[in-house]
Amino acid sequence: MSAPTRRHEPVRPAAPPARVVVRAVVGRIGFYAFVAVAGLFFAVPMLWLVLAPFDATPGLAAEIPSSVTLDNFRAVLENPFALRSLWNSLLLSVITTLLIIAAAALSAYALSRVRIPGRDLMLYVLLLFSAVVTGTAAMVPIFRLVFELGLINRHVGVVLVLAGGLLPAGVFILKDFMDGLPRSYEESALVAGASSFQVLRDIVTPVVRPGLAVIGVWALVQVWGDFLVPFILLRDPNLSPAAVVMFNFYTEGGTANIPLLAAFSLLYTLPVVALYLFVNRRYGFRFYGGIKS
Amino acid sequence: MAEVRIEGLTKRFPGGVQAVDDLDLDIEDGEFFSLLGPSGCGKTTLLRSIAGLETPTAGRISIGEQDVTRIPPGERDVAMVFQDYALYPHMEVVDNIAYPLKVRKHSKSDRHRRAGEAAESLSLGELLNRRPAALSGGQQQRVAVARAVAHEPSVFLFDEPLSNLDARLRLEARTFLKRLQGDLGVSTVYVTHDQSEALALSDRMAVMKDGRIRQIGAPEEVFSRPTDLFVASFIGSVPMNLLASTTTADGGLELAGQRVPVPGPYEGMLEPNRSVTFGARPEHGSLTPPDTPGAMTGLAVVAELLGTEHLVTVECGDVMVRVVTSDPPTPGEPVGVRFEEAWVLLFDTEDEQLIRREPAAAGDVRSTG
Ligand SMILES: Nc1ncnc2c1ncn2[C@@H]1O[C@H](COP(=O)(O)OP(=O)(O)OP(=O)(O)O)[C@@H](O)[C@H]1O
Ligand SMILES: [Mg+2]
Repeated sequence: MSAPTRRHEPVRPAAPPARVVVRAVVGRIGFYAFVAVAGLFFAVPMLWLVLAPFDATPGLAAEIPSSVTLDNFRAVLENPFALRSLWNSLLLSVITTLLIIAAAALSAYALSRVRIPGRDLMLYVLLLFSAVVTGTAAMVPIFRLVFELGLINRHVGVVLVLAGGLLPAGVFILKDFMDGLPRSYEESALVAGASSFQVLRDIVTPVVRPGLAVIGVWALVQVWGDFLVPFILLRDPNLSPAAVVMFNFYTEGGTANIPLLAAFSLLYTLPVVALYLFVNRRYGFRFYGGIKS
Repeated sequence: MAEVRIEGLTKRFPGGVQAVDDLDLDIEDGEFFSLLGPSGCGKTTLLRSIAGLETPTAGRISIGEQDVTRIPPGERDVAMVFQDYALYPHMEVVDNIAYPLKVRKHSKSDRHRRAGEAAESLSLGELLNRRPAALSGGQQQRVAVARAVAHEPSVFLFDEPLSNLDARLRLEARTFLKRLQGDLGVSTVYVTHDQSEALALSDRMAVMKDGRIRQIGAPEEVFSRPTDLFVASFIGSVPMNLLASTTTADGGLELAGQRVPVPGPYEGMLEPNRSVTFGARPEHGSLTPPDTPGAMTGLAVVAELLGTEHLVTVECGDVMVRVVTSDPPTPGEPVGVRFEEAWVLLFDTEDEQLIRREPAAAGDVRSTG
């Protein structure tokens, strides 16, 4: 406790009995031990992620490299599928994200402003079922659907399925931001002579920008990390994104190619971290609506 | 600049609330017109209908020569100041003020010149590059007004623009608004639920209740001759005395068990045994020695300081009578109360209307001041 707070303590309470003190101390120690173990549990894989790529002989344990090397990265560059898959990942996630932002912004705005009976119920139901779309259970009908549409083995199929699956949650988050936008902003613009489009462009979009940033990053991360949908809908390894290609990194001997995997994992992770830092810096993250400037 | 004409305007919201009920109103060119009324009486709805933000259920609205009933808000050439000011948080003050001009495709230099002029006239020159969040309430209010001014509309619409300011600032802003409107000469519709604001600012005002206009007139007229009990009780920072009374056979009034003469202007107009409500403003009363003929007698119970004068409450039997006086009695002292007859109003208790020599004509409510 710091000095200024202590000053406000009127009278020190009488010292508690020793038994209580011991129990409190033991409780504290137990708590810290638990936190430390839990922290380690998450930290060790992270440590592996940053150490293993530079290890000449990486294993599955996180250890200080005995000899530091960049050879693993050369292996990535030489692998015919690695770089292409990163490009595919980028393409899929950027296009899907743009689609989600545009569609979610328009529908969240409309849903926030137009009164239709059962609107909230509809949103909840959509949200519930959207988890199914990108999950395992619906993969057979989705495969069938995409197949009938002739979109198997095409990026467009993956983009549509993922956008459809993620859109309800995006709309849900964004609607909260739209609800927090006072109607008088739009009305004053309307009285000034602005068209609906101008209102959306000049007033609504800039004010809910933090909301757009949130769903943008979230959608990008979701698509970037999704394995199941592209794995099932894309047959050609030249079209596969990083998450799927990684699955195929084996040595000739048929065991997992750990040096290649390690370096590739790091490359695969970095863009997401960089994106998060950039967006957080630029727009700031907020997961709720409301106007704050 | 233009007059606003409203004919038979009705607005019924889905769900059945009748916010505006068959309302007629003419606002003259260059006039400062206030809409006054209690919460929920439909003032905002009426104002928003003029702006085009609500579609009337029935009736017509015209601005100048043009029927605007079905015209979108942006083409009505009005400027509206909202209660929350509606300043765009992501734009600097100058862009906020210039936004209506930008929408109307004025050149950038023209926009900035006019925004600068409007800001200057509202002493906002120093603040042009601030964001709204970095302004005080009074400054935000002036930015909102500057945005309306820069736009140079034919009608200003204000929805309780001063209600978010503290008492002192409100007084300042009030004086300021009045002067600005006088200089610009733009017809103004001003919504407020603060009767002192309406009295202070208006050329003419309308008192509304339940979607209808109860009285229209110059502030002096509405203050001194309210035409019904509702208006009488609503206007005045110290409420009017409204006392139940009955006319007597000998041409007097029985008031709180005491007998007072019928006020001069009403002499010979009242049949005996009629229930009337005796209305008199505390400012028009005076204290007399107890048992003065023609005055009511009671006990002084409280004296409250108003500033230079005191508001004295006198208990006459079981009714309370209030009088403003500069020479307060000590509480508990017996006093007489008399009101200047010329200012006393009698209302019919049954239909709550002011009793007048000639019966109120049907179109009376629309008469101008
Ligand atoms: N969009 C709406 N839908 C349904 N009813 C509404 C709507 N807007 C207003 N009302 C109702 O219409 C009536 C008049 O509302 P209005 O806002 O015009 O009152 P007001 O006189 O401006 O009150 P205040 O002084 O509180 O602002 C109220 O009973 C209100 O509940
Ligand atoms: Mg209102």
